[in-house]
Amino acid sequence: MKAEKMEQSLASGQNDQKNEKEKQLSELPQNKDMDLVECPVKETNPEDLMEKKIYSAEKMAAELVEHNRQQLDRIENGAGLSSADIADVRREISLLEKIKRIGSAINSAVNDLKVQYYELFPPEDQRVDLWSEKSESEKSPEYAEFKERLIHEREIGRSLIQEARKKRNELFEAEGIFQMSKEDFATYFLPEEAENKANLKQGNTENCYVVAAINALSCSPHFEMICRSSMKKLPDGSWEVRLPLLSQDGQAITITLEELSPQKNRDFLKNDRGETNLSGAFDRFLSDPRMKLKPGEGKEGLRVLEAAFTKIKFGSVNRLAAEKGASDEVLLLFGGNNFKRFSFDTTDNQFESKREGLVMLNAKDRAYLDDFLENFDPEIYIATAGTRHDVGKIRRSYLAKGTEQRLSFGHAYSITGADSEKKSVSLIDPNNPSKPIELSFDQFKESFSNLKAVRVDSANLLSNIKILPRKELIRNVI
Amino acid sequence: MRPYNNIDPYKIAEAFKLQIKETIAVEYSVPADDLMLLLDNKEGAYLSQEDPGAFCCFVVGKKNGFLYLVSGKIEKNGENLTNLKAGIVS
Repeated sequence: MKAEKMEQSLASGQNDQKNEKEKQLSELPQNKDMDLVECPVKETNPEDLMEKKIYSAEKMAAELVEHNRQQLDRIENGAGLSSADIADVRREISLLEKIKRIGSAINSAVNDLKVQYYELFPPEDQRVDLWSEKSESEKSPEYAEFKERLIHEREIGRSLIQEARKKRNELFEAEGIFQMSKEDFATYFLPEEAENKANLKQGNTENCYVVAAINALSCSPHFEMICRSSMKKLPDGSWEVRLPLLSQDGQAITITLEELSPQKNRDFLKNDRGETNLSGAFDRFLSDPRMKLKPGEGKEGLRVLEAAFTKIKFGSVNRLAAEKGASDEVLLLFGGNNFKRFSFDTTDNQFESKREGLVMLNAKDRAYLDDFLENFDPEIYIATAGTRHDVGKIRRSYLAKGTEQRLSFGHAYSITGADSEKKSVSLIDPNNPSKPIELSFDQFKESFSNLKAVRVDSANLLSNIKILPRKELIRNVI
Repeated sequence: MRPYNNIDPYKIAEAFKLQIKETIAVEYSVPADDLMLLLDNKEGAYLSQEDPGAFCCFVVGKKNGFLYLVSGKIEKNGENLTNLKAGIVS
């Protein structure tokens, strides 16, 4: 019924509208009156004349879309329906999508015309070029300003997004039951002084992948919420941790203060075959010189996370067993279904590929990686990156491409940020977290061979927040 | 007296649920059926303090896990919701 009323109103103006549209489209490339359309290019030769006609075509295309929008408003008002009814009809006929498709088709036609024009008349340096990709804003500040305004009109404002994130945190806080108080979180996880980042520094075991994952996780605005929901300091000083954090399927483990302390190394002075009493100098050189295996250095809460991963994965806080691994595995163990894996790796089983950087990814993965770097947001991603392995396993470090920055071979680093304007990535080294590293996107892609990241799944996060309190209630009752 | 004093953002969100989903569907190529408004949460829909008069509503992508924000301008005392825009919160 509603659609019929709309159709009647539409039909009454449809024929006239159709004739007018056809007249406008057919006159686009030929109408001599377009010479009168204002255009910044001076008409001095045939190329300039063509440029002016394309400019006019673009302008008339925009006017055509606007004209049709106004027609639509007149038709809807003429139908005499309420706003809700109009919305129903729009939905039924997928109106907004159709309008967008029409707009895209018009723009596509004008762009095809431009491409053909440039094939005939390649731009020269001394001519005013309205559509140059490189220096548009330099040659026409008004263009840049207007384009910027159009972008802002489509996108939601940054201040609204910031406000929304604050509301989101309040929403999570209201829904969840936190095992750890805010005060305890500040005591055991946050830095003493505001300007220092409380990062974990790697101990003397080869668990850089765990430390890098924890430091990357601590950069996430969700870090406080997921830790407070699943970690609790007990009266005897030990910790109860439920892994995955903030998960319906979390398994509770206890980390004692002893498990946070250095432990005896059972491989002390043994070679990699487990042999001791070595006589040769070379054998002694290759033997394990570590009498004790130390945990990471940093705030107690971060050291608890390090120990909790090892205990859940290996059954005990066995620092030898936990040597060497993948950071995304750590992140997924911590986050469970609150995170989705998002990784790239050029180090497959091929021996040669271990020497290549992320630049050697296939075209599709390179596009994903570039998009990731240009849009990196700690609200959405938690990421680490791994360096190449040395083929001979003799050298310890190498210079990042085009820099004086030394990177350790086969080492994991935390990504703490990315700047899409400067095209740079910020990283920290688990061995030296107080000294951030900054590389350009290209230097990063040349120097690192894998990216191990996860993306936050807000739907599962919200779902887990709702269900977790009920499960806690049942556990307490039982 | 502040404008929009009598406007309940939850009622606005319910009334314009389809347009809100459509805004995200078109902008981010997500099927509308995969989207869910957070109307059972205390802060799921609200009137912005940053941009007075702006209506804001959280929408979750059930499959992709993204949390979106849709904002709009309330007109005619809640009869119309215009200038809808979408962004990703997390």
